[in-house]
Amino acid sequence: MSEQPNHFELIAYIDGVLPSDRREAVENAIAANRELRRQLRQLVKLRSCSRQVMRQNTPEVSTQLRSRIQLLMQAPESRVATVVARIQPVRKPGWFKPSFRMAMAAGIVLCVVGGIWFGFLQERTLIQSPARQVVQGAKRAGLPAQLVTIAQARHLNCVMMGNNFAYPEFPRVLAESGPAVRAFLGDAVEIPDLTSIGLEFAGVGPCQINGAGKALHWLFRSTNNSKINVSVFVQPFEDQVTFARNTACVVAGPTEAFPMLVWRSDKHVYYLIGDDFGATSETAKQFGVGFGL
Amino acid sequence: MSADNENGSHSQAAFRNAAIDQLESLHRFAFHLSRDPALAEDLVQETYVLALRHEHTYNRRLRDIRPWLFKILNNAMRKHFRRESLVTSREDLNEAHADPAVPNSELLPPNSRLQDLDWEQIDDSLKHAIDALPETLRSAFLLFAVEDLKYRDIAEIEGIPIGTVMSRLSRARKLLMQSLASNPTISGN
Repeated sequence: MSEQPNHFELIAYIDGVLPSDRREAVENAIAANRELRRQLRQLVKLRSCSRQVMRQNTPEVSTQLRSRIQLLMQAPESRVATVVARIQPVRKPGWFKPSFRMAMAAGIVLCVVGGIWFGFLQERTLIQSPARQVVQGAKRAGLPAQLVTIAQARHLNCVMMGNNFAYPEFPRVLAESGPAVRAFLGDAVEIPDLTSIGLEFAGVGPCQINGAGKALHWLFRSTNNSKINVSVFVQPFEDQVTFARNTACVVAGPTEAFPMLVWRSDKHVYYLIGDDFGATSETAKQFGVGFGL
Repeated sequence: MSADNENGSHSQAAFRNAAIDQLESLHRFAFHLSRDPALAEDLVQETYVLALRHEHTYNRRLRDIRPWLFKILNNAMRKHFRRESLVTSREDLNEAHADPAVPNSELLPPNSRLQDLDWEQIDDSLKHAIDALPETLRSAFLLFAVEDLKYRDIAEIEGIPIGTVMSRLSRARKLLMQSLASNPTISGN
């Protein structure tokens, strides 16, 4: 063959996209031309080495990003918008810029002033939205303002990291976990079997939720693949709440993304949080409490 | 649950699992294009958020999920770069580095330098050479050589004709070989 392959034909041949009617001619030219064969070898080597080098020089995907992506992808269709809204950027470039810092400082001042003014108005006019009643209820109960955020973070973290409950002293069978729970909290705690309402026991283990006191976390998962999860946290009662025994406090109501109820017995404080109001409300009923609706 | 709903649920689960499987690839591409680990993670997260929002627009029967996800990531990167004014536009860059038609004889640098390339010692030099490619060439080259995407997929991701993909890949390879050949520590000169 006399016709030499042009530049693009050679590249197309290497990449396997050369039209079949030109392949034979190019192969003949390569067979007859030592320099073309050498160039082909170099180009093939370039691709394989590039692949290897760039893959080796990529940092691992961080655990934080992986967890967030898994959380996103586990969200039921009806809750995608809520989960997306709650996912924060991995980094906040604005914080690193002086102009943004100044804007943020101004914003904080405005929020504080506005908040004081708004609170003054609320006290005077007694206009109380359901959300505000919930916040006031939690405050009156002595619960920290960020309790929902903390409980939600613990709940989601354990939902995503199933092996968080790999504590040898805490059996993965609910009925067998009583002695370990008693040893940890100092007293027995009755946690009902929730299989009758479609929730299976996923595990129990130590967890922090409100203050430095010790707490245990029970996680329940839906059995029907609807990816609904409910968490129950229990702490010994150490005056961390101000409401009376056998009283429940609605911290986040049915319209919130993560409904939450807190109640206390003689010896313990219970924190119930779920990512679905129906399942959370049904769980509360199993404990003999309710959202009071 | 009806059979249709059940099929839809399985299909959705398969879509999401397939999307999660691409996490490493998307992260690698974002990292090597942005050269900023935190920004890369931001862009990948944004890609998944957008993918989930537009899940209904993805045709599971007709399309491979990889180009679809890479296109979302690529668009997110363009948007970021435009916002940050890091580049005026990718097309401007492309034009700035465009070569005239490359004669056959100029496919590779003179063979005296290439014959002795030590491919075992080439890692750092090759990485630096890839990092030094103009953005549009680097993007096409990474998608092709590192992520194993096809010409037509790259064309779809970048929003360019297949001929332009070929042109970019060709120029990228030529620049890389020239860069390696000019490095005395690996070219044996």
